[in-house]
Amino acid sequence: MIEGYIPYIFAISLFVLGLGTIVMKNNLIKILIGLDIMESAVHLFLISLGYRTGGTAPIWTGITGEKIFVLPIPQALTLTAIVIGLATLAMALSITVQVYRHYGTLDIREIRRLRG
Amino acid sequence: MKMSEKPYELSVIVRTVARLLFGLILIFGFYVIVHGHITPGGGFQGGVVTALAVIMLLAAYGYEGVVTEVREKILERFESLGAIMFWTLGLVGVIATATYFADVLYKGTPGELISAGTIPLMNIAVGMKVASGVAVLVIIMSIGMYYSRKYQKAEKEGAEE
Amino acid sequence: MNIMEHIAILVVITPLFGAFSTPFVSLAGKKAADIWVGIFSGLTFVFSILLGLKVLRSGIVIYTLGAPEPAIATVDYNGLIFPVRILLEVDALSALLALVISLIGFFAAIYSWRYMEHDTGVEKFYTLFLLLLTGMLGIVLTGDIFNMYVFLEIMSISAYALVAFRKETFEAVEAGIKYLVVGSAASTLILLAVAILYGVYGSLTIAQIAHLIEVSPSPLIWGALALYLTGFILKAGIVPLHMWLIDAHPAAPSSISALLSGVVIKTGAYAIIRIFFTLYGVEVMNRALIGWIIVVIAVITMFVGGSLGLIQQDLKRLLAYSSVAQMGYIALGIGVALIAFNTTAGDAGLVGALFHLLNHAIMKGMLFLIAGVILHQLGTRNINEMGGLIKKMPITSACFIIGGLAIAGVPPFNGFVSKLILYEASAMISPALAVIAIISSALTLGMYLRVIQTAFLGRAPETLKDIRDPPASMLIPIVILAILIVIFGILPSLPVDSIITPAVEAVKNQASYLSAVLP
Repeated sequence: MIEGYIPYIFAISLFVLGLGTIVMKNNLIKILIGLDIMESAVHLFLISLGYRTGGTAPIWTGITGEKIFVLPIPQALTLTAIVIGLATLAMALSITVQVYRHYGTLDIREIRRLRG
Repeated sequence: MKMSEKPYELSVIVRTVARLLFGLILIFGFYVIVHGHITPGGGFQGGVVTALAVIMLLAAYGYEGVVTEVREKILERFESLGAIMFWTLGLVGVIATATYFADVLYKGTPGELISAGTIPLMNIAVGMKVASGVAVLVIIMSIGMYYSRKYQKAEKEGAEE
Repeated sequence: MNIMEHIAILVVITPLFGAFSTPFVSLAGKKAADIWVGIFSGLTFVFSILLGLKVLRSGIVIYTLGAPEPAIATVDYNGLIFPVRILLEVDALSALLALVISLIGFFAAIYSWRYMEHDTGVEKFYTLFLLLLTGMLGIVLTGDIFNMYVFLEIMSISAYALVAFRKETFEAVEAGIKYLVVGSAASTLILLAVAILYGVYGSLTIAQIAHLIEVSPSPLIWGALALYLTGFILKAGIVPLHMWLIDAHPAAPSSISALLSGVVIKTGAYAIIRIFFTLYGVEVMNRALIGWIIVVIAVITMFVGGSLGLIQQDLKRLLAYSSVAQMGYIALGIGVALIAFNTTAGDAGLVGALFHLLNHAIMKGMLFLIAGVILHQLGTRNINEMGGLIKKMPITSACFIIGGLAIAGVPPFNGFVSKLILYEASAMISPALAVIAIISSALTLGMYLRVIQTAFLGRAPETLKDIRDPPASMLIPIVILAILIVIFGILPSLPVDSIITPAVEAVKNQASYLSAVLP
């Protein structure tokens, strides 16, 4: 009974781990890693939604005669989300480079000149 | 130890292997892009593989060694071109009296290379965009590498004086 | 090829093409890129008007991507009929939002011609600008929750880049990284909500999920609702998740600030309305509880925005706080509509919320453009360094005074009308609410009177000698928006009857949204 839920439990704990990293760490790079862990948890969650025991990749070749496929839509969604995650991460790292050039540190407690 | 003339380059073994593998990685990337509709993979995955070839050169030859060979301006144009190509392929459906993104071209036999209408063409467009986009991204981000080396050098010279 | 048949998708893909063709056009010089962006944002505006007219004339417009016919949204699989493709579903609410977005977008594009003349990398600025427009239009037009997430990310990523655009200043970089971290966390929450809904119902089309929720509400959907709400409250800049807005909106170039404060946060409000009234439907939820939660958040938002705005020295920061306060009014209208759905009070709440949304887009768009003019001509954003501007730049100052009084709810401007409707609606729920709303409006009035008093009236400091009104391409968008404020204030029935009431009807009528897709 519990076996079927293991991927979900794992994904949710990864998600919480990522969220905790964002909230508790002070280094900007670590915060971005936390963000990525959170995203990966959602990807894992999506993928496990479409999994079928014994299923193969959902590509119809007509040669091997596979009968059971895993659901392709969550895979397509995950791929899209991965691409978006890549774009966000690239943006984040580029801005982080600029932050380091301006502040000389990646500690978010010191990156606080904006007030009010 | 004496500093070499080009501190940003890795050893001769790495450089030679990088040179040898460059073409092979490119070909593999193109393969993944073109076969996107019949095998696992597709435009994005193949594009990232293709960009890896440039990233490998970056690792082996350093920022200064690569920017002279790979023109980021041209790569940026390629990226925009890929997006425009994708957009135009979507419009083909509208022109053929269906809807945007409708697959109206020759479908062929499933499982063959020339099949699935506009999908392989869209894969090529996406591959073009992703390959050049990721390559430009990494090149631009590695400017940081160049700057930090420059600062270190300046600091060292300042300390010697 | 009939253009009216494809009008819904044209609204989204026109700025998309403009975005990626701008790098090529800019090879012919900056002038060419300017005109190109003007053409494409103008075309988007025209298409939005056409789309709105089509929706008003013939009801909900369905556009299915990749289908043989735009209206075919479902497939018939052995008698089981369900939608498979990504589709755009445009009702009067979506059309209203699209109109507002493309209007402010068009004016911001024209304004950017001269405003960005001293910056480098203008072609990248224009590409990101048009992508931002694409993302916003996509969010409001789509009928698919995953597609909404994708457009949300297109919008957010271009917004992060635009906030950090002036990367030589520490302010832009710091605001950019803050906005990015909290914004991506919110996007991830939204993606998780999408994944949960997909896992429960196996569909991504809003109409199909709404139908399934009506038939068999699963307890998991409340988790998804909480995630959705957290994500979109952050994107809308409502307290307690507003801190990024205060830093990000002033740091961006002013034409982008106008877009961010004017319309980007409105897409969050749109998504909240869409999720409550269409995706979940008011019948399944405990609407009194959720409505009161929204009302309490809204009241806190109004007070935080209004009171912290009073002490700001930086003009753009003050405007950002004022945006927070005004988002509180919109949320108040939504909350009242949830509590008293389908009564006079509820309808008035929705009319007030949507009319205030339209008005605030126009007012705050204009005020940020004026702040940009002042920054461009004077080189400062500090209110205390300004003075006597009305003698030096009379047209700009007059427009600012109109905008400031309008946003504070002074008759005869449009802000007065929409706030009055909101006061009436909340008074019907509880008179105390209306009193609180009026008090916080007084805070806004104090905030703007201070700016008008210090910066525009009074004596000009010696340092501000030869300044004058900005060039025409910057002045005309401001003047047109100011004229709109006055017209909407004197003749409020003009927008309310023609575009707001149909949108309210569309929000209330969940059944027609569903039946447009499902047979």
